[in-house]
Amino acid sequence: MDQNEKLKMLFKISLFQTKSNISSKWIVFYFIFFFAASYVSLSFTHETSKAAVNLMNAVLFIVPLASLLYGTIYFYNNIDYIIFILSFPVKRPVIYISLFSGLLIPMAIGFLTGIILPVLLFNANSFLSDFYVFLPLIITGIYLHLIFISFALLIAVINENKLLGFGLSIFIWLLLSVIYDGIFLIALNSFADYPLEYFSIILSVLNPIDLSRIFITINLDLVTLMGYTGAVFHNFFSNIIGCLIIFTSLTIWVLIPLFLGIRFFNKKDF
Amino acid sequence: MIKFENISKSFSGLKALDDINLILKPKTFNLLVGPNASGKSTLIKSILGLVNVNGNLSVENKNIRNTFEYRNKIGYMPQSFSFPANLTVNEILELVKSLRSNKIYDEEILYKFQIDKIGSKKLINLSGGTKQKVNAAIAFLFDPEILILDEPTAGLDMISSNILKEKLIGENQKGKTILVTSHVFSEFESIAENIILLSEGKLNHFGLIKDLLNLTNETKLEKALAKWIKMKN
Repeated sequence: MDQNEKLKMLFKISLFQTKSNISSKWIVFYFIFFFAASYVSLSFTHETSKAAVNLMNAVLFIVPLASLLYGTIYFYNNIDYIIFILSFPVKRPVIYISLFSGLLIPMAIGFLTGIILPVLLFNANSFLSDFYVFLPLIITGIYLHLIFISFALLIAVINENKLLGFGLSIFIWLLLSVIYDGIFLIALNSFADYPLEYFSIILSVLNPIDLSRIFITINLDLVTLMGYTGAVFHNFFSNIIGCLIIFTSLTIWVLIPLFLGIRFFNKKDF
Repeated sequence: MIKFENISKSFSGLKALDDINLILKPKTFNLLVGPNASGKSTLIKSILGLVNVNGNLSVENKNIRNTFEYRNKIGYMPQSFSFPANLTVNEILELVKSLRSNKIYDEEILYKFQIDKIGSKKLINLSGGTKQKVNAAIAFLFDPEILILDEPTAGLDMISSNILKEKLIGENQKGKTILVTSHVFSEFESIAENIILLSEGKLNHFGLIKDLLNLTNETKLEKALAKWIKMKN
């Protein structure tokens, strides 16, 4: 199978996966959630930047949770279909990447249209400038989908037990969105007498949700609300090198679970 | 030809396949039987490369380890048909057609089962039997040299079941190698040539059905198998 044929197959399977997922009631619900959140935020604030701030937490909490849960449930519920596709002359990594993109595309479409449509409805004339304000949210939202869908597939591939996989997904979400920050704060508080600037930067890089939060807050000019820590982050991340560090770290967060998933999927007994 | 040489497979310490040595010659019609958890599914999955086994397994004289192209020669009908429910029958056929290099299609059974008339229907709206017909049609679609069918008549009505069996006889006469599993022995005992009996992952018996009937002095395969198992124990 040459590269061209592989790409064709990848495109075909992804297309059918996308078709099948996009009309799923969960994706429709996902779109409605972000549409409602974006619409309500814009209605209350009448200012795109304030609406973006309101939406930040929805993006940082809901996108990872939905990606993890929908990804693992999809894999478990469609295991017979995956096995059937595996019986065809197609390389396993092609099937895995197709599953990944077939989950990513519908979720990302639901998220993007949900967030952006209200902006267009509220003020079509200033759409481009408003869209620019929402851009950090959109970029991090897409990255969070990439990261947590690859985690979801990895979890489902290594765990045949549905309940265990489901539990692990929720645990990873809790760990990265709640527990990690708690530990982070306790550590900062316990060692408050020491210079912790670089330590806190390193800890942030180790959590994709924190990294996303930093990127959004810097770009929405919210660092002033974060006090001293905000100033440290602003100094470190608000230049080109800082942005490069954020995006390299986020990309690594995508690639590690994705490659591990492909590796386990290649060796898995079905 | 499908050749198993010392094929073993364990799952969490339990032996699903235990040192299987078997040759399925070309143009033969083989019926794979055995009690639950005897290793039938694992044997089929090993041919399709879905499980990694110890030993040498070759299809058409080529070891299948780390290859996938040989699956162009195989048509597989799984026991249960499970595609995403939002897809239509036509979309599924289009998808599977895009996954094979073979572009000459055998659509005879597709028309006989009248699947062409339900192409625009979504899977969610199809009955279990109709899904099974689509499942069977896909196995024959690519005119493969080897047909592997897991409980093919399960869920099919009598007429459809007969259409399927006639198709299998025809394909075998054309020179296709066929491997079928079934719990209803009477359905295939008159058309299959060989029987493969697995129990607890081991190859208990492999040979001509008529030889087994003669050996056990029985006229029905079900009774012959029961007698054979008793004799072996």
